[in-house]
Amino acid sequence: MSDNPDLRICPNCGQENSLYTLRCIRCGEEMEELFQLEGFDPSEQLSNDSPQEDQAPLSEVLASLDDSPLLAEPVENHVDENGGDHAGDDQSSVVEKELPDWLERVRQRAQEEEDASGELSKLGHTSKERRQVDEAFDDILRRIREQNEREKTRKPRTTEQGMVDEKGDPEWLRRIRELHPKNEEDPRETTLKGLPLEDDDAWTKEELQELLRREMGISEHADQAAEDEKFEEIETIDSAEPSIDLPFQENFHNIADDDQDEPQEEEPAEPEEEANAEEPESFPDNDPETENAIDEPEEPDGGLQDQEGAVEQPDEETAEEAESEITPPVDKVLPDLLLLRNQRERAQVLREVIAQEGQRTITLLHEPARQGKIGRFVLALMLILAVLGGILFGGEAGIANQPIPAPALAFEENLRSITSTHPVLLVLDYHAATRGDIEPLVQEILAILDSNRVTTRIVTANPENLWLGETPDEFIPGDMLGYLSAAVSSDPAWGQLPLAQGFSGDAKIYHEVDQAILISDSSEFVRAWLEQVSPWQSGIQTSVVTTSVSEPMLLPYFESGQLRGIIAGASQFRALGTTQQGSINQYAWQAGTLLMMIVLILGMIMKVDEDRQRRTEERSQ
Amino acid sequence: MSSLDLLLLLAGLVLSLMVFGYLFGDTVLFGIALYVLVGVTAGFTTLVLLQKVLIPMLINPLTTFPETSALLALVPLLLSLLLIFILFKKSSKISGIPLGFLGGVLAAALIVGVSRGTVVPQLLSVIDAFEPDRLTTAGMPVWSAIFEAFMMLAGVLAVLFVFHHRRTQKTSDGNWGTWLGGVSGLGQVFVGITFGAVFVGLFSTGLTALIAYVQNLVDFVRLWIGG
Repeated sequence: MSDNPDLRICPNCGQENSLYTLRCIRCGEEMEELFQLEGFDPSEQLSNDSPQEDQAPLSEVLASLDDSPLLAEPVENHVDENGGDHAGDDQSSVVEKELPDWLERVRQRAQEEEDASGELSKLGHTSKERRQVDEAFDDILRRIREQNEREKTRKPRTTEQGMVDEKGDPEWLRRIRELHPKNEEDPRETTLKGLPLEDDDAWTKEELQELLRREMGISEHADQAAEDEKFEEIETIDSAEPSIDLPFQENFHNIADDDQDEPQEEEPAEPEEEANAEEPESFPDNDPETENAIDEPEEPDGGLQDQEGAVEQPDEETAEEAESEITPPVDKVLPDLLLLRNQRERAQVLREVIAQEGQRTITLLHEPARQGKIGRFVLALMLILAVLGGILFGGEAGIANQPIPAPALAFEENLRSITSTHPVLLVLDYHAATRGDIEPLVQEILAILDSNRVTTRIVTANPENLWLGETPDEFIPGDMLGYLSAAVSSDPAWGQLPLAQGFSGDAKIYHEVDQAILISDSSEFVRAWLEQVSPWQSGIQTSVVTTSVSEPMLLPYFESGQLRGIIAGASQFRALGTTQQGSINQYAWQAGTLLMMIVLILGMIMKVDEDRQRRTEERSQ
Repeated sequence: MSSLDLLLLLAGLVLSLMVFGYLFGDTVLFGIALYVLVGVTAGFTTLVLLQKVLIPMLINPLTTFPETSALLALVPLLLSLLLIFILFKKSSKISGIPLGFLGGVLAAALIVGVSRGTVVPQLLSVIDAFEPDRLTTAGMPVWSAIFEAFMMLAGVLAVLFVFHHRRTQKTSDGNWGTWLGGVSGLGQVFVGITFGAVFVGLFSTGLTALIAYVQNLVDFVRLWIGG
């Protein structure tokens, strides 16, 4: 016995072997004696003339079987693999078929004794002891049957017959045909990539390994090198992990990886298939170290892994060389030989999803278009050049000769009707960007009012208007709320409101005012005035000077009579009936308008054509 | 022309060219011009508010303490001080008092103003369009006035159906849904005409502004070269 409890010393050559090794890895000597039960030697039982020495150990063996875990898992698996007992009447016969060799030997020995009960009778000397032995056997058999039944009810396993379809093809063959549908087209050609299938659909291990090599793209040369390496006797790397499989063999299963132990290292090793068929000829004892050795042969499909306890382990260098030659690249190694096609496709999809990590998969809604930027630049340049050409070559700026709309005519008529009786309130609310569109009109309006000797009162709530154009008389804080406050407030009896102290002059900006002209580039300001101030100062008639943008939004108020007139932009300068020159060059204005009309018409035609082409493509698709 | 005017014209020329640089994209020159505009506007507005609002309406009345106007001036002063708490997270809720007061006043003024200034007058305008005196002259129908009145009514209803039908489009079906869809389509025509008129006005205003500034640049160059 070695110092290391996980190792066994070969009695023939002294080689340290794995705990589970059935044969010595050096000399091949069977090491079954290592699994002997204490006190029981089948080689000596027949020639032993002193039965007194063996009788006592045999009874102890039988007694120990009650507590032996050997009869729990391994026996049940064994029974289960063979189909178990199907009828209560045949239970005993079935169990006898499943009895291990050691039990057969026990019975054989008992039959060879003089007494039918063998030397057990001599040991017991009484029928009571004989009954105890029989009860022990019956108890063992009963427990085997019970465990078998429990196992069947708990985990009904599909028998091999159940995995065969209506055509008689086993499941593993169907899976392989799924992997290679082309071979399925020709039923006569039962070869799979050159490997002939036998008539009974039984694949040999060599054929399956050949198939696996082809799937993994391993060359024959590498395979041969691996075969050469396998037959070398090499040192054990880690005797605690004796089951080292071939790199192909670890994939040669259809069991989830979670259900098996991870191999510590992929090293080529020779599977001893003989060990798969071997049954332990010696009796195992209750030593926990040997229990695993008994468990392994009982596991299903264990022949390729743990059951092969006598796998020869290469040394580290040889293993690395063999691995470098045999093991394909990691990305080419299939996780499982019997992966179905859809499983591979899913794996491919997962791989692609992982590869797209961090990449943009959704197109931007407003992706900057270089073409749009260039088009915008060209259009703006054309417009500037047209305006510049109109200014430089069009002569002096003149009044735009355009038709005068009715609101502008109404504004002019209302303006000229203002007499000097009451002051006119001018409310400024425009910005510097629109001063070119508004200020020429304001100047003309002020000139007309001045000619009629009408006094004006200019107010604003926009700080920008303090330095634009006409200087206002008052600044109204609070924007529209300031106008509203001034409209609804009245002088209290106890003095003056704080708001009134902000005015430089009279705080009553609406006093004796019956005409208000709003000069604003915002239709919102005009609408707010009509909503907040006009209801409180219903006696004030309101007119508007605004830009062309705001005119359409204010027309309903003109139609409803809330506005006396609207004059919008310098283009309606002619409505005031003056002969003075406006600041807007007519030729430049016409050139710019003509250019934009052309651009708009072309744009509409292109849009219609684009939509037509898109619809045609959709119909063709 | 004085040197100051010449300098201002030159500054205006440079700033105009920087703004025109937006044709090449959001360039640094355009950003500089924009920041100059915002900064000058903010500074000017601050000075105006100090001169025209805070000092005469908030500080000066306190000098007349204990007159009534001075006591009343304490109210806006207190509300203004409460607004300072908006800068502090823990006590920012205190600033909700003046903000709530302001929001309430604005909401009330808006609702009353819209009702009295827009909704009622516009509805009366639609009704007045069907006044018999407008539709007839000396006992004879004025077809233009009749057409205008019906078009006005149809336009109002159709545009209202545009927004109504947009919400109920998924649930309506059958003939009723088709009829609603037709009315809604007519409303969309009116809305499209309105937006077209707005676009024309927008372009006209922009073109006018462009002509004015190009004219200024041309005048400056002519002045510079002595033409």
